[in-house]
Amino acid sequence: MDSVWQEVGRLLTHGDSSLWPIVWLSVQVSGTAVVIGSLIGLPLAAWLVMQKGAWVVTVRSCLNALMGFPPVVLGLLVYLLLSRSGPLGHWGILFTPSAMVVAQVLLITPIITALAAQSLADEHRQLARLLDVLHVRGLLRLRTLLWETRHSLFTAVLAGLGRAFAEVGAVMMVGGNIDGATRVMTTAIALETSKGELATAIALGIILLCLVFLLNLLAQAVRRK
Amino acid sequence: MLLQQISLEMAGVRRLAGIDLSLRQGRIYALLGANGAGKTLVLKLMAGLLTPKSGQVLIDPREVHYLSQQALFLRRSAQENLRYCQHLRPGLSEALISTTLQKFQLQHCAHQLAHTLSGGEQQRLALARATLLSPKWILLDEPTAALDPVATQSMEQAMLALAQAGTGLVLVTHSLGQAKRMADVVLFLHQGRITEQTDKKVFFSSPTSAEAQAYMREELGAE
Repeated sequence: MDSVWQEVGRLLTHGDSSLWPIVWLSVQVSGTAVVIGSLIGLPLAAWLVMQKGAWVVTVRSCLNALMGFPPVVLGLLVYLLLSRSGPLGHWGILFTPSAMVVAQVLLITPIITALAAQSLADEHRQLARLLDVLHVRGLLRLRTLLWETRHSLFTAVLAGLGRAFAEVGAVMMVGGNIDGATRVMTTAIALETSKGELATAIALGIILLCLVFLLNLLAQAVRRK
Repeated sequence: MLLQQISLEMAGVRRLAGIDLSLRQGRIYALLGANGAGKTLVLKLMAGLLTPKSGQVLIDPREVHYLSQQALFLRRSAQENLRYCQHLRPGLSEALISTTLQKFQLQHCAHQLAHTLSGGEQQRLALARATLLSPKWILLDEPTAALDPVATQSMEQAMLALAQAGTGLVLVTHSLGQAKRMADVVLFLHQGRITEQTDKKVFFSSPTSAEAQAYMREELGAE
């Protein structure tokens, strides 16, 4: 076991030509998914919060339920959609990083939207009277609400990013875990462990943990602010 | 501003009835009455924040500014609170914002977050923002309720200056002293009905309704 830890140390300190492309692809895929998920989720959450009616409660309940959607089932659905015979098969993106981004966007958008909607609803309860008094409506009201809640929204985005980094099932299914093409940290850890290459798996695990830990630190710092 | 035969119901309970008011700009109206009489509801109707069950309020709500408590963006600085008006009144200059900060004695805390300001500074800031929007009417709901005498005096001076400049003010207060100092006309509300609508001097020397007389006795006793 000592030799494994020595190898882990070597991989992390001296670098390895096969390790860092995997880390970089993870950052690219998850980062892209979070940007797209945030662009969809944040305005959607703000718009939802400003609507009235029983259907809003239903939509928010659905979003909360989707937060717990099993990634493997989601991966299967995206696979069926993108496979050659599927309705979006003509896109030709199955087993590419783009397919992984699609899966992650579908996975994290409900998380970002639901968390953002909760923060926005709390803020809106406090701000509604002021905005009414100032006769602030429409787009300006939405922008003001997003700006006043920006710290909590950033935390929601970071939660989405953390979830995207940690995801394994869906990206494995739609990415295929192809070496040099669609292999990311989580899928590589699963593969290397099954091959008995524990040093590489542990080194990637440590990097993944550090990234998630850093994100949490950042979220806490923003919350304190 | 005209309120014609206003009645208001909330959750099936009649809260206001037969409210008829004709108010002129440039004057200060003190709206007096016991707790639960409906004073805040009258202000909210005037501001268009509530819709009457019957009757009508003849004024554009955009010409009215309702100044309630907690009427600020608390996590923005005093200056940023005023700058927000630039979204609502395009063309509002930085120079005017700076002058307004000075006029309301807020220049020393221009960059301080609103939630760190004292109660008096917060109220002056809310009033300063209202003036930047140039409403014809400003409705003030107990603006000096939590203020010390110095802050109260400063706020009252600012209100008097606004009235002299032609803005109409409707002031809800529990302080008879303040109503005496500030108001031109007193409106007395009892259980959702206006029972007195008269000149300040007449009201304080000889209130006609039994409710107003009883209210004055109790409030003067408390003061």
